[in-house]
Amino acid sequence: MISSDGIRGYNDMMILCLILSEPSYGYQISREIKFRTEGKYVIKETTLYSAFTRLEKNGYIESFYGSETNGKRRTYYRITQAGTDYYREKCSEWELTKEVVDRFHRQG
Amino acid sequence: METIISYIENLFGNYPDSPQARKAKEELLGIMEDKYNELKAEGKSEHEAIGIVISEFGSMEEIASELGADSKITIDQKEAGGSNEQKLTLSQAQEYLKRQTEFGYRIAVGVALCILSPVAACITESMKELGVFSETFADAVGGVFLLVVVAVAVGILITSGIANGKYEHYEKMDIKLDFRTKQQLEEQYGAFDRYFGTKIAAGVMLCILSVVPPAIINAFLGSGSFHWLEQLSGIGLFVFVAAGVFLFITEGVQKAAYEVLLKKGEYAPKPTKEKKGKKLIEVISAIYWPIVAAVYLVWSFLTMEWGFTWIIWPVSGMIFGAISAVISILCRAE
Repeated sequence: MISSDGIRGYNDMMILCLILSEPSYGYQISREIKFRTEGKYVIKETTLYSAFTRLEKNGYIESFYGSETNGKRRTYYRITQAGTDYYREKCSEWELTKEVVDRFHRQG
Repeated sequence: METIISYIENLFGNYPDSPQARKAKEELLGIMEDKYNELKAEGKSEHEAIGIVISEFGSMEEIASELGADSKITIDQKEAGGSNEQKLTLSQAQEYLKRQTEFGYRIAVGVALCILSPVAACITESMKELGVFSETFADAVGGVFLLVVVAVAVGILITSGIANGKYEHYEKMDIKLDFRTKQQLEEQYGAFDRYFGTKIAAGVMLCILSVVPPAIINAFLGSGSFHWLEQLSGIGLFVFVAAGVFLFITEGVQKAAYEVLLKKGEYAPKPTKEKKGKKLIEVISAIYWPIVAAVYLVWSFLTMEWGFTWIIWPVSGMIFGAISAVISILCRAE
């Protein structure tokens, strides 16, 4: 398990990455994060929700209601052009961060 | 899942009920429900599933800024609103409904007994007309039976009124239901309300029909030698009225219980202006009616015109209605 402090700045990037190709909804995104990290990172529900509202406020994602299944209406999120640009920005920022932090990292 | 819902309801209970908070609650519960269902599908036990979902929820501080207010405002609002707020779980709400329904039946039985109390007198009077009973015996039995039934009825009314006292404060409270409970109750209320009108109409019809038995007897038999039958037909009248009133009370009490829980009709939250008007009307009524009663008694005893002085009641009733109407219009227009 990873500390949520360390990864805070990259939650947005993970969420945006998962909706790059097609819209998705809350639990699917949370499950995909857990799956891709082999359970090493589990995003908290509140973290996810606050990221959604922040990203939507900044115009990086848009929410819409999916069709009803079993009487349940899910909120889906889709990425906007601004969101895609922001994602690329975060990716290069990560490249840089990784490079910088790596210089202070000693194996073992 | 119930545990998870009440966990979330509790967390959100400390924040104002804003549209943002409702949206957040819906979205978070949606994710949690998905997760819960998948864990259950994976073969996890109820406890394990709930444990995992709650442990992965996170913290409210993280979304507090999204809820439309910081927690300080919440506390101020709560203090301003007084401690009038009461959260009810589904089982508490159902318990209240059950108790109120029982209460309605008890009151209805008490009132119906009062209405039916002259029935024995009808029978004894009829026997008297037939010459079976002597006059004194008939009057004594009829009178004693009437008093006994009324005494029993009053006993029932008083004891059930006292027993129900502990639920009376529900009417004044700001009842909060979690949304599943509310949904469930709305459904039940819908099913109840569908037949409410029919039942009340049936009650009204019973009351109207109550005059049919005496009317038929009178029409067909005249007032000749069938006095005994006329007396008996009175039983029909009382039974019909009692059945009608029984319906009004049991249905009315149940409806009121739903309205208290769901804050509908009489118990819907009113704007403060209207509340002020209602208070003012209550105050006026507390002074007005004793004065009317005093005037009635003084006037009647001075003139001894009891056959005429009753007119003060319908007239004061109409005047009071006009006063209340003017006050509520003025309060709304303010």
